[in-house]
Amino acid sequence: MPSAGPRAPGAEEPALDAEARLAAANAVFTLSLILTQASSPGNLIRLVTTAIPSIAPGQTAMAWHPGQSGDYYQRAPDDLGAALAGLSGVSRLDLGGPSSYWAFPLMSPLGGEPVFLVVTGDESLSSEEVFLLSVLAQLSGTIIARLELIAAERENSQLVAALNAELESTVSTLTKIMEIHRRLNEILASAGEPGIAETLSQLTGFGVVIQDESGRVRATAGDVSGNARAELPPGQQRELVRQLRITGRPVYHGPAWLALASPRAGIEGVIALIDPARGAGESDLAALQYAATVLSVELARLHSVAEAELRSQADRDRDIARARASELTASEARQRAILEAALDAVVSIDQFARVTYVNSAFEHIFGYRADEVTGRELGELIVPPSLRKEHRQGFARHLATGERRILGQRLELTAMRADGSEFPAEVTVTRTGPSAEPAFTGYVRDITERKRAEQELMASRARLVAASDTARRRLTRDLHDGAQQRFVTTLINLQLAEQKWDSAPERARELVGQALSDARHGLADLRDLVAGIHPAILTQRGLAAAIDALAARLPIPAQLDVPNLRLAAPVEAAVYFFCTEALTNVVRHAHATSVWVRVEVAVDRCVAEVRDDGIGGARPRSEASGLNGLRDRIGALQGTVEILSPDDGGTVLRASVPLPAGPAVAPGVPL
Amino acid sequence: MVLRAESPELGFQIGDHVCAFYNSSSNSVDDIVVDYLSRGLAAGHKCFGMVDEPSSVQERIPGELVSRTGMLRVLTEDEAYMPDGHFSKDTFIRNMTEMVTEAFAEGYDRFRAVGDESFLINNAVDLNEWFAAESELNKILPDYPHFFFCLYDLDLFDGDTVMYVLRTHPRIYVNGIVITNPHYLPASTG
Repeated sequence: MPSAGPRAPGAEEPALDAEARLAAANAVFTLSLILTQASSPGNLIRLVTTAIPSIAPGQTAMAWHPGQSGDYYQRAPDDLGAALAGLSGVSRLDLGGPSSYWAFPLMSPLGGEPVFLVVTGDESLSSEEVFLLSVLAQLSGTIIARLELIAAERENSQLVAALNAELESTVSTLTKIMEIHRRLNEILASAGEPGIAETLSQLTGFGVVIQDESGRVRATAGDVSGNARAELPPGQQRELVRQLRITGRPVYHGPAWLALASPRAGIEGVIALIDPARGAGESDLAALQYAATVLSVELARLHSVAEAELRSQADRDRDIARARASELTASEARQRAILEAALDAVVSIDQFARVTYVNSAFEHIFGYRADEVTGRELGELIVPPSLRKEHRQGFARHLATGERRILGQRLELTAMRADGSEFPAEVTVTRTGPSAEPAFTGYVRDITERKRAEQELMASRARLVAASDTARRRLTRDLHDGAQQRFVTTLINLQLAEQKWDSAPERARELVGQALSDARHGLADLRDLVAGIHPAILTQRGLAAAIDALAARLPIPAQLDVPNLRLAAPVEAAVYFFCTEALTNVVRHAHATSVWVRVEVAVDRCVAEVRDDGIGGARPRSEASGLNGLRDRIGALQGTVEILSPDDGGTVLRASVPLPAGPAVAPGVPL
Repeated sequence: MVLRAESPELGFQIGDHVCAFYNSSSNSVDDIVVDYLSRGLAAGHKCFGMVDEPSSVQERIPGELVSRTGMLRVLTEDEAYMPDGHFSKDTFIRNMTEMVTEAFAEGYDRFRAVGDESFLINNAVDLNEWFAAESELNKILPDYPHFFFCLYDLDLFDGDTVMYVLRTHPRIYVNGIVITNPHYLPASTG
């Protein structure tokens, strides 16, 4: 291990005299002043080490550090590093070899161990050389520190300058961009595409062309004579747009810088900055880029306006369609509700006579469920077999010729229920479908009741006629057999009395007395006849008195419960003759011991009831029976007659007659 | 390095042969040359420059300073130092002697010359011959009222060469002043 140790300069050499030291120091200081002009510590060390041979002939020098390398020094070899470690002053090193090693501290980098200027030679340094190199090393260390400081300051200065330049450039660029944004934003709000073109041209000094994706010019500004894109075929135009979209920034193409404005796919515009000399700067391209952004906004606005107009029209159309659909739906719903609520059966069929719809009344009238008939041929459902052939022929004839035999008319036909029973029906058929697909709807009304009522009415009318004839014949017979005979006899007796008046006055007086008796009987007969037609007591005193008079002539006791009210004359007459007929039947057929007559007058109806305790089992014997006559009379007033006459005894006849509007009134005031 | 000259002659003395050191990393040799020549022209000296690019120097010297035709002459280093394509001590000394004598013949009372010696490295000139020429200048010029100013770039030259420069220039310009060079060795001993 080589040993090292400090040794005082000149310890083995004779000391220099003062004049020599001053001269040497002057030379070293002068050299040091020159070395201050070195550009860097490394250059300084280079100059110093290469100057050493001139200062100390036969010696070489290097800058070493015991443990590390730096910009201007090297890490010492192990043996040298070990010798240098811990040194702080000028030292002669003993590395065990023949060479001489002198270490001169230069400076301490990073506050650690110093860097040494190590001078090596075959011979040891003289005292003068040690002194000179000591001073040179110290001054060099000072210069290195100064250079490092200068370098740091220069670096900082450069950094600051660079930052300032960058900041200035940034501020300038931002100022320009702000101006670009401000101008373009102002233009966008007012002047649209022409304004964008004009503003960009003013900002850059270049001609500007705004084109759509196909190359059609939308706006120009400045000198645009060099615009070559407009001359490109459409295919190349689209390819260019595609390239711009991929690039995403201005692209130089031909004589112009191009930027794409595309707020979304399908909406594209291209701004061209006409620059044949390719002299556009960064701020010009920034302006172009921002103008493209502004154009995108403008295109989006224009497109949104157009879309809004289209959408508004579409909305209106849709609203109208919805309203119509809603109206149609509502109409259909109303129609369906009406059909469902209808009393008539409604059935719709298609051009093949297949059922497409039936309403609830159809189900009720025909006895089918809707799902049973839908899709089936109508004829087999509701047309009686005997009529089907004719039905189908008529349907086919209509489809073939358009002949309208039944459409729109009210027809009375025979229909058939699901159980095969037939009934009279009133049918109306309408055609509903378009000519190409005709459809039909039929309205079927079950007129069974109406037919029965009509038949009943006809029978009633016939009975009234027959009853009238019978009454007339009976009246004729009664007059002929009764009053007429009496008055004939009176006439004959008076004629005989006239003949005997002179010859046989007594006989004449007897004949006149006979004639008077016959005339009285005849008058009584006539009164009876008239009473049978319309009793005077009824007219004069009302229903209660008339029924009371009837009861007085009955051979069996009668209990009466008849209010003393006056009703309309037809009602009083109908109720009176109902009671007359009923009481006559009781006397003739019931073998009763008692009879009860009760009349109730309600607000709208008068009910008369005749009840007996007879044998019961009463049945009308013929159309011309008295009961049917009562029904006709009561029915003429919209009233009803019912008979309860069980076979085990007792009969009740009850008539109910509607009252005309207006209250019943006190007796004695016929209505 | 910027020449700072509070005194009219920057501390130069008649017949001075002064060296100065700069580093091209931080300084522009043209600045030094322009300042030195401008001061000479202002003082009415005939001025001669030897630089890498004469035009960059001439353009920066105010035209009004050149009061006489031929008062300012700036040549490239090649033209000035190697008129025959290579450096020759004898040719160089002869040319310098002629220029100095011509200046006085033309009526100038001072002749001022400056040269950037970077050409030595760029043209691999034999340094022994060059420093022989530098030393020779010291022998012949003291008789004439001139100022010779030699500029060396410390980024190009090593310490050994710097020591040679110091030994061959009686005075040295450093830190804005011209001082006596303690390293100078007169020609008889150098």
